[in-house]
Amino acid sequence: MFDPHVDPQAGAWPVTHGPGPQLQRDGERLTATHCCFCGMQCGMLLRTGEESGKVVGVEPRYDWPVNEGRLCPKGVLAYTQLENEDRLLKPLIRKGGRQVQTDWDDALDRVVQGIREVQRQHGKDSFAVYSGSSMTNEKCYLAGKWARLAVGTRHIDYNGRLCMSSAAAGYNKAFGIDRPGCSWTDIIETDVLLVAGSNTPECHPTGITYLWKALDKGARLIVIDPRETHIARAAHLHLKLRPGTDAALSMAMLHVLIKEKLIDQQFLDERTTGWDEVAAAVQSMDPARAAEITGVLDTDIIRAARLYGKAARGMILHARGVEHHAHGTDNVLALINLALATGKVGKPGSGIMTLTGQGNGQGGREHGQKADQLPGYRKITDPAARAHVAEVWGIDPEMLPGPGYSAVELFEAMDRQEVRGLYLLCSNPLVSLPAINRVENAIKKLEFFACADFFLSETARHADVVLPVAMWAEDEGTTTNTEGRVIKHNKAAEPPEGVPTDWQLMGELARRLGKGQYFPYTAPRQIFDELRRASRGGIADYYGITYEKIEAMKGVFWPCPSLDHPGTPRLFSDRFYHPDGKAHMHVVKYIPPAEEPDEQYPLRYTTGRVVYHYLSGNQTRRIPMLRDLAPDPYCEIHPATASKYGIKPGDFVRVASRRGELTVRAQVSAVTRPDTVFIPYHWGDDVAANLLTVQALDPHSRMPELKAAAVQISKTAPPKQANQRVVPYEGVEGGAGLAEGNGD
Amino acid sequence: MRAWKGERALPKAMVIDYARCIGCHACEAGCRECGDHGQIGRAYVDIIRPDESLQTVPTLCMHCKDPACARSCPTQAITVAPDGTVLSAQKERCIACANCTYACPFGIPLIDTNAKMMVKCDNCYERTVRGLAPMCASVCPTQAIRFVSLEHDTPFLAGRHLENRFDFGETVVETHNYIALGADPGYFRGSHGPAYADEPGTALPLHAGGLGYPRVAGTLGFAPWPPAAAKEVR
Repeated sequence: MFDPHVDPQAGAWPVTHGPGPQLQRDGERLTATHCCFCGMQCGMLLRTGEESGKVVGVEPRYDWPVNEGRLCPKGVLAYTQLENEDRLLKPLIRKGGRQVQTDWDDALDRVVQGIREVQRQHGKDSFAVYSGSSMTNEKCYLAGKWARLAVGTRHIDYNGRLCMSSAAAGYNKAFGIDRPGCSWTDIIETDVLLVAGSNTPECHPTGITYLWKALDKGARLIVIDPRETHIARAAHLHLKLRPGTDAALSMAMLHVLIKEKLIDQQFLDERTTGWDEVAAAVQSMDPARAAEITGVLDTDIIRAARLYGKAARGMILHARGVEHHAHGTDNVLALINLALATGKVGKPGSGIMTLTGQGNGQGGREHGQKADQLPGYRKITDPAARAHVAEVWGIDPEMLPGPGYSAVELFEAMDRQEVRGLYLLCSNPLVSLPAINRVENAIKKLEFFACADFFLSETARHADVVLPVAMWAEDEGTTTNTEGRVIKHNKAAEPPEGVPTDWQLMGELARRLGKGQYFPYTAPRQIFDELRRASRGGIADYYGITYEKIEAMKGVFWPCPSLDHPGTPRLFSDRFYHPDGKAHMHVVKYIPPAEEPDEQYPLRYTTGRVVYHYLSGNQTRRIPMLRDLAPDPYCEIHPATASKYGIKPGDFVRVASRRGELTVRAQVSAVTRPDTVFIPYHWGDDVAANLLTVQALDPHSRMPELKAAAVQISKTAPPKQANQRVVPYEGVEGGAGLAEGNGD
Repeated sequence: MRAWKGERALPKAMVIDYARCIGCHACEAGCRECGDHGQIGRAYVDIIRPDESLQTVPTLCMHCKDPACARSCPTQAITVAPDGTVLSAQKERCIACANCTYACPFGIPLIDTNAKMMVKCDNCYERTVRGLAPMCASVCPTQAIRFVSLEHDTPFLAGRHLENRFDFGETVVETHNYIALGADPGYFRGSHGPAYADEPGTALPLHAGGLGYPRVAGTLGFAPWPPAAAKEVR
């Protein structure tokens, strides 16, 4: 009944390779699925040996509309994780300071006993669950339900706080819905692209082709980034601002737009509220003042404003560079104000889009693993929402706990021993959270700590019980890509013998906790069907989405409220999602980063990704080719700064902040600003970039300021021991398979 | 290797656009996945001037119309397919003498010391004979490497000059694969260049030569800019 989503540009732009056939070899079957890494969720075909049942390679999936076969090196090599020698195959328990193998019964009993003991002594809420968004909607949904029903705690939060929660807060405030209103194909149709705080080529490599296509058609590109990234190099205008001054820059651009009468007054009158206050607030932020704050030439700010303002169609793409700040929500709102003031929202080729970093960053934040949220983007404090979800789950609304702590606050609560037990899944906070030394202290204070992962991450090494789980290609389920397109991952191989999926594991633990009746699932489809009902009527309404519809339509865009609804690729064309149907503009004030450089710590510090690694690197650092391409972190220093400190390329430098210090090699390069140093954050232990970052939180999104801190640098001797990329565990032989009732 | 039955040339050509390369090595990772390649990558990516810029350069076999590797091979291990693809060495003939490595102006053939034979890019012959794009062009996330029909005037080709003649002083090499050179100077401005959108600048593209890149920039460095004898595209 449904046709695939049509690429609006299909006529004007011949598809490069597809839709076409693929190469299928004898003795192999192909499974159409998606990459497990970033928010692009690129389509791919996994090649499975018919006899061995193992995934042996990857084949481009030319007919998937988002990436048309293209993959980054992480995507090409993703399948090699499945047979990685570091894979955890048996549960581990801590014995005399070491982690040793045990059987499933023993491990699960210990987890159940750990949860019960902590909760008996210190109350229900003393046990917390910390989850992640790099898994399917089914698992993310179940994590929220499991924490609240099986464990019975109000403390469940997830690493999406580090991913794009400032964008979510900004979009909710301005548009009343947390989803980009446009899709990748809109980029091709635009006249001017404003890319703010996004290293798109390294973080969303396959998405960059849309930008190139736009440039080929004559679009102009403005890049706002402290570093000269690959797109900044190709940009018509690169505003190389000081990290953390994004709001000042956007406000000054709005100032120029008003002064030069480049605003769309009709759009503002008809479709927005709050314009007068916003316009008044930017009066004092003229380009000269912004130039002083941001370090960008005032003439460049004016150029950028004119380029964006004069274009008929314009798009803003933004990512962690503007969001990872103590005022990240304000930074996002300031960009939204630019889009609204010029009427560049809800039209083809126009819009504002946050580029989700995590694989299921979008879906993972919609279905209830956020501390203050229930499935369908419902608020946990809303009595009607509680009643609806309680009915779907077959419980009394009283059984639902209230809101809990957000990610960083949760670890602070562990530090002051308000929270004494933790179940961790799909996350590696000892790499990803700010001020890692403090996080490590907090984790060491835990009375019981269980961790589910497929590799022994930096954090898992501290766990009392480590539970191995299946990987992405060993299970099926849905994710939601950065456009809001719900897609389907398919199973290409069986998990290693005895290793359960996360949903099977949570189900078995629930059974042992005496709550098995709420988790009767035998397949992901049952969880998805329950998710559909739980999200029904909510903002993120998935009710009309089915596995079959996803395959037929090549993904379905939520909201999709009924089975005969085609999904909603473009939002905001006629209304916004506030009750009055209008977009709400918010006054933004420029507030400097929480920690400014001073005499003792004179340099600005910022962090980011490299193309070879994903998030905490727990997966990609174990893939040999990726590890060889980026074996260690480095500190990017401007040549002028390097010469001031007597640092040569390849020297070791000690980089220190008030929270910690690390020693890495110097990469002397004009890519960064003279007052700014950069370290990629994918590594842990003594070279973790987040040893140095601050714990300051955005007041609206509770997102930490990972992109601006103050540091000092000095040349130093090479460290005695090279970075430990992977620490093997000392296992003992033995252990039985999975306990009864928990297998496939 | 299945034989190619058709006698016509490849309907599409490989086009490499340095301006789009992000140095991610996906081409190399994809190359390893090709069935005939035995997990050995035959595409190379270099960062040309790390102190200055993130500019990187992918290098593939250019598939010369008169391939020096094949001409220099003492055992005739390198064959040229009817469609012009210069194939990798035949296992039963190659003696790993490395003549081809020294003869190639682009530095493409490598000696696999374990297998004691030469390996090089064959444009993923098992794919192109079936009309599929080679792996590097298939996966390249930024379309720095493309497998395109030169007859279709896509916006991509309209904005660029394609070059497949390389002047090495006394020798001019003509290749089946193309390098795309940005025709619009505003398209990209090179590192730290002065060109802005509303003030059309004259910054040369990064790869216009003299950057000390040993493999490709050295060859392109001799190409006049703008190319005097603009090659007519089919």
